[in-house]
Amino acid sequence: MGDMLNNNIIGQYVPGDSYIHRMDPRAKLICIVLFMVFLFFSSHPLIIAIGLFITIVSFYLSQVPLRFFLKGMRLIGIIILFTFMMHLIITGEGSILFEVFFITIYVEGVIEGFIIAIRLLTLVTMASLLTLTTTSVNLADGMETLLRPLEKLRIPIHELAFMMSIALRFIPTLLGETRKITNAQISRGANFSTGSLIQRVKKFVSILVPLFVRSFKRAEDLAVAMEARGYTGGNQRTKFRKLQWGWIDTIAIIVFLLFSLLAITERFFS
Amino acid sequence: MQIKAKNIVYKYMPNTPFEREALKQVNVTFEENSYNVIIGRTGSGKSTLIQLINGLLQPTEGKMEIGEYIISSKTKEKDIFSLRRHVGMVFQYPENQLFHDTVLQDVSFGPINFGVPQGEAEEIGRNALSRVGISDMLFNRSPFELSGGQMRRVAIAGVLASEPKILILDEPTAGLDPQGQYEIMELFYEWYKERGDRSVILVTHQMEEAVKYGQNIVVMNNGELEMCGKREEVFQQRDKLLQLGLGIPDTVKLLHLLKETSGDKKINTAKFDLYNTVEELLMFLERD
Repeated sequence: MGDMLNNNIIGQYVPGDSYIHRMDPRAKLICIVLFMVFLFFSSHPLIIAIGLFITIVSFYLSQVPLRFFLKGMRLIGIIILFTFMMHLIITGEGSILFEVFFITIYVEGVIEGFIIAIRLLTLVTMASLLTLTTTSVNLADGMETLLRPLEKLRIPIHELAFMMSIALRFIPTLLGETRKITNAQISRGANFSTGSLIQRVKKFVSILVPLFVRSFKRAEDLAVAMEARGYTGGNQRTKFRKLQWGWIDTIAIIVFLLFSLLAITERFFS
Repeated sequence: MQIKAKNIVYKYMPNTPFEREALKQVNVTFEENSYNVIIGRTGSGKSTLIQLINGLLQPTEGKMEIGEYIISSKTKEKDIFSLRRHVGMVFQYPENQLFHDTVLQDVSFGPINFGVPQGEAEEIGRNALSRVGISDMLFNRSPFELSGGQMRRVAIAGVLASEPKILILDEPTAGLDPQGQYEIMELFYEWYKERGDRSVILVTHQMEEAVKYGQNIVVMNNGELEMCGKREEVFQQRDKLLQLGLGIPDTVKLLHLLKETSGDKKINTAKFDLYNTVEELLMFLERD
């Protein structure tokens, strides 16, 4: 159980002071969205290669330790490998590369597999880079400012962003709480790793009930604390943390725009 | 059961940027049938040390010996299971572990997990509940309908019901009123005295509790064992304790101050409860 909780890098923030850490969350979000959309615009090997290159450079600039990253990517690595193998086996036309028993591997299958694998890899890497280098508060702030225009459509953006940042804020708290409750029940002889599926699910009740009780209590406390400090919602709230747009952000946006343009050109004009 | 920590090193999240060494080469022994107190500032490694005693954590390096059980980094989870029956853990705010429909069911949760038949487990549960002062009118109520103090007692009964030999208490009185604190601590002391093979390890920030109940005191600082010894020895080293950011009880402070200001060398500062302190003061007044 501990291992499962400890080796998770999704949503984990690694403190640092790299170029990527210092970027404006708005710029990071825009870049990621551009990257995600236009990576799928074209399957030209050159575009994929450029995407991979951008990912590697971003990763290098972020100064996230490679070993730590790879350890957290183990599960995703298996999924990517599986997808690659599927493409290898399923593709059934083109020039034959070689035959083993009843499986025929085609050159097209290898290329297709590689393209999909690299796409997935770059996508996951970029997405995790965002959370690895941005605090949840900054992320929520960035999203709120970017989505602000939607308020014209009467969508309560401030409230949604606030809910998201509260949710993100309490993930580590809940994880800690879960660990404490689990420890207490394990000490009372609860065994979560043996028994039939139904037995195991039943045992999880001993964790879930206290967790829910505590969460409701915490939500009530938080509501009282917010009200006591005069929180009334989004209107006319000023910000304590101001987002700062810098030259790195402009450069990053330009790079990702160029990449998008290239992908569009390749798709429609060649 | 004797507890022996041999060269224990414990690292949280090893091989990641979040790696933190919580215990650095800790050696300590807790004898069978002894009342031990661990003190130290927040983050000094106290909680990590006690979680190593019932195998919730396994040492990164070194060995933990509890009676016949030996736990190292390679020990399998299934070999630890039976040890947990002998080591009861009362965590901070133990009422957070309550989950069952009724008080009695919750208290019998431990014994049933350890293989005691239903009927017998409920019998043990009833005894444990009356020991902690919960009347049988409450046995079939939901634990969430009880008051905070009652919930704490039920949770403690839930730990005692497993009939452990070693009881580990992590600030068991935090958040209780003075009367409640006194009653709970007395309850543990009675449990300890009842039989010759029971031990207690208490983690606390309250020096009064430490001095009153602890025969042996272990002082942790930055993941290391800073001091370890009999209560009389440890609390004599006032300056060192203060330097570590720990206090000493007011009564001991009083005797120390009196000795310093009066210059009377005969004052014995190793008096650890109110009664003995007053006696020492009277003796000082008579000498005058």
